[in-house]
Amino acid sequence: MDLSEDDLHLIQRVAQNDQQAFLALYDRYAGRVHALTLRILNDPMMAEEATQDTFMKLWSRARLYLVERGSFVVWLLTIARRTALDRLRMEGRRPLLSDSTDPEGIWPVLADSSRNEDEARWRSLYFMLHDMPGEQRRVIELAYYQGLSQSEIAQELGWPLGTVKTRMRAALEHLRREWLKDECAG
Amino acid sequence: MDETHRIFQETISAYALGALDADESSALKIHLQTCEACRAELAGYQRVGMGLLSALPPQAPGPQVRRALQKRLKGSRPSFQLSFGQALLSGALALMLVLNVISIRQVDSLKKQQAELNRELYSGQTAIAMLAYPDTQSIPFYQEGISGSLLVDRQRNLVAVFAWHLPPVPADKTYQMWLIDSQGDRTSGGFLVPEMNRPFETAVISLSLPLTGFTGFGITLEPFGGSPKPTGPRILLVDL
Ligand SMILES: [Zn+2]
Repeated sequence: MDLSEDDLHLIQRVAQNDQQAFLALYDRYAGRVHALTLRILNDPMMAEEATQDTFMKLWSRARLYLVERGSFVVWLLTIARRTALDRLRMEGRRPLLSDSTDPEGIWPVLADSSRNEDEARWRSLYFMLHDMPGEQRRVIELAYYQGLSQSEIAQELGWPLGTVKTRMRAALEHLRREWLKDECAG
Repeated sequence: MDETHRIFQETISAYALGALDADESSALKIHLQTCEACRAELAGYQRVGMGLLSALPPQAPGPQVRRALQKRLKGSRPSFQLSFGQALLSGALALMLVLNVISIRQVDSLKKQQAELNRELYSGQTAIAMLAYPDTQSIPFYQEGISGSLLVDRQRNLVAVFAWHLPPVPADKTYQMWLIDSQGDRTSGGFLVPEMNRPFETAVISLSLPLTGFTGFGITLEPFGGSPKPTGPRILLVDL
């Protein structure tokens, strides 16, 4: 999941205002960034704007990344999430409740384009989330993809705060146990 | 204590997802500073959080997004902002290029000045980024007419130096920065190059050694080119 040498090289060039390197990173990661902004904003036009803004931030902050390092994908997607959530708040939109898309319908199409085992790891997390009981999945999605706090979720769903807390904890414990178990197994 | 720990432990997963309400979140932050078990648990949940960022199937945006970015890039170079003074200096360099009949030698020296300018901009940017970082410690100093601050980031082993009103350096001398360990041994932190017509100097020291081993910071006046250990008069000494 860490930064490949290749990415690092590209980012160093972006930090020196190399537009070709920037576009190479765009071609590599635009799909991931856009999937996230689309999931958060649920509006194609706003999602594309947020994707564009995210990459402009990559352009202007590449130097900061080089100071901090860490996983590049995580860094970029964290910016994308923040950018999209800010937009969501700005629009004052009500959060999207749940993703009704059938996961099986999406992934197989993309399987050919998967470039490394990370893809398979992320894919397994996606399925784990989908296989969860609906009320657990919903709290995770509202927190992570809509940026709501536990008390905001309680208000949104009309559930007692204690219930939200219990379900969120159970859901995350489950994901952590199952997903990191996979990781240890290789 | 165990009971408190247990109560906090229950909130870690939500914290990792950024879903804790503000009051709970700040209480947990304080507990995390002293509880290793909770920090370890947090690391696991943060991995899940990172996974959730990437877990969605990729979906390419329309081609117009790439085109729009290309367009925006054309108008945005360079990617950092020049301060007014730096912009003036750049402008002056450009003007010299136009007005002079330029020998190869002059071009070389202009290139060096430009490289120096870029290095400075980078220092300035890193320092500003450090200021914004919650873990950065700021150590102000005021000694013999020289004032300023050190910004210290022990996690990333970075020190940014801002020093105001350093006396001008003779042409055959240079300011050298030192980090001092608990035994009193000095490690060079590079040079601080005073710029004409500017009241303050700034530099960033990025160490390959852990910063925690050092207890002091100093500046001495050394022969041009620097020294392996301090030899000249001390200009500044600050406890870290
Ligand atoms: Zn604890």
